Amino acid sequence: MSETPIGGDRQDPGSPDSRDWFAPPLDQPADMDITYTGPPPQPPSIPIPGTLRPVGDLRVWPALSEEEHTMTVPFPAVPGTRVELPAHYRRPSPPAPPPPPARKKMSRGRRRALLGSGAILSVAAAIAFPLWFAHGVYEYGRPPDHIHTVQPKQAATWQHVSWRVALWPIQNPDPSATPDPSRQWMKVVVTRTALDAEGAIRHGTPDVKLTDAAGRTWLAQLVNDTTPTETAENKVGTPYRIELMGVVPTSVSKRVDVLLRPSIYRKVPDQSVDNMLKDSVTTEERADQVLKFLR
Amino acid sequence: MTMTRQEPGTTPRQARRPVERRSVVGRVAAMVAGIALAAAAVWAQSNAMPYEQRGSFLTTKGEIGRPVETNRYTVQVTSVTAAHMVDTRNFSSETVKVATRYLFLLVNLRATTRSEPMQLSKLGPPELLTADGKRYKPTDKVDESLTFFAKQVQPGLWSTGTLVYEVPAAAIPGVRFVFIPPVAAIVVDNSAPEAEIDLGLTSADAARLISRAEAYHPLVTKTS
Repeated sequence: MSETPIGGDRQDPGSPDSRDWFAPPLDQPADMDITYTGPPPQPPSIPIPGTLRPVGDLRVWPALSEEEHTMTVPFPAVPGTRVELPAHYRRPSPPAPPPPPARKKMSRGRRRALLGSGAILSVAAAIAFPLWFAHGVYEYGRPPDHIHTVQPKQAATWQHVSWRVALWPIQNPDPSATPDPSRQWMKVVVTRTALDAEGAIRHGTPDVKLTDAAGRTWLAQLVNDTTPTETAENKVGTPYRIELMGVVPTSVSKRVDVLLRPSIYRKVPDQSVDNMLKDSVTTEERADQVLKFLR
Repeated sequence: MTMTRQEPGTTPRQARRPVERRSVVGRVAAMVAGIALAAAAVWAQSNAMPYEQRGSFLTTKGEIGRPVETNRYTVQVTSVTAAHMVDTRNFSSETVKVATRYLFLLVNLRATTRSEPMQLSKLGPPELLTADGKRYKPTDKVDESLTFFAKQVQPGLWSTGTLVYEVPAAAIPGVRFVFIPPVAAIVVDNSAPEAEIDLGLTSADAARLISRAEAYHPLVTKTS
């Protein structure tokens, strides 16, 4: 209501009524008693089916008689004396499920067998799972090498670079050293040729080792690497020499093979340091590919 | 609160199986067995390795003069000498004499590996272990290139070299040489084998060694 009713003020009967909605008509006397004076409301004499039986007013407080200590709250139910609700109060409920049949007791032998096998299995699992996880960590940290065998006098191509290897025995490069017949110096010359631009990007120095049939390895240390350090200077199709030297026992010097592990370092020209660091961390490639050049 | 319907005619006590009563003897026996197991567990724990031993390498023991073979390498101490002064090469490639308040103990050794090349690590170098448990690392007064640290030990080939230690004369009797292989710094291989070589220096031998200590032992030779 936008207007508060102004009590007592009456406009002259000729003007339209601007009072609120509930105001009595203008010609009704103000002192008229408008309260209800008829009989109090009674329930219908014929009960309507489906409704509660009407309960009359009961006086609960103050108590009807002083000597009886009556309560105004319902008495708490005594366990075990539940009385079913009268029929017209009860809700239709689904029938209670029948109790499950009594469990058959397991025989003692079967129980022992089950417990024993459960104990053995859990002990085995407690040992096997940490071992399996640790082995996974080991495999991740030290991935097994994938060895690609290359036939003698053949070139091998890996990751856009073609490799060729030559190996021969040499004299001890230190002329003043005492000659040791059990040691044989070997010279390894690796020739790498980039096959396309990606091969020019991958011009990192490879890791070269000498190995024999039993799997023993010897170092081959870098003497000279003629690969240009800048990617731009690496010409596609030009062979570059990498010279290395190593020592092996004389007994295996005729049969050593060369294990060559290409470097996964990619020097992309004009790459920002951030990108280079991001690439080095996110790359999926691992340095586990090895080319084995047979002799 | 849920109420269960009672089967008319049965009481809860009758519905259960009669409980088996354990005899007093059985209960006492179970208690004694439990205490015995707990005592055995405590005794077994007291036999556990101390903390220092748990993380240390697997030691193979040997003597001076004999090769000590492990599953990764074989090492042999050929001789031990003492000196009051040695020399080294400094950064300008000049030979500089190095003196000490104590004594230089030079361990001459040779080693070979089983299948992979090996180079000693400066972070975990071979040590001298004295009779009372003190450990000595090689001296840093001598340039690495003159000692065994510069050698690449490879399979099938024996590498010979020397390691220089600076020890007081009182520590020499009963000293042992512990050859520690190089291991990675972060993921340490606890199963790596180490060789503990007894240098055979009883107190009499130690006194003789000290009395015959050279005044000056040159390490820099014309070719090294």
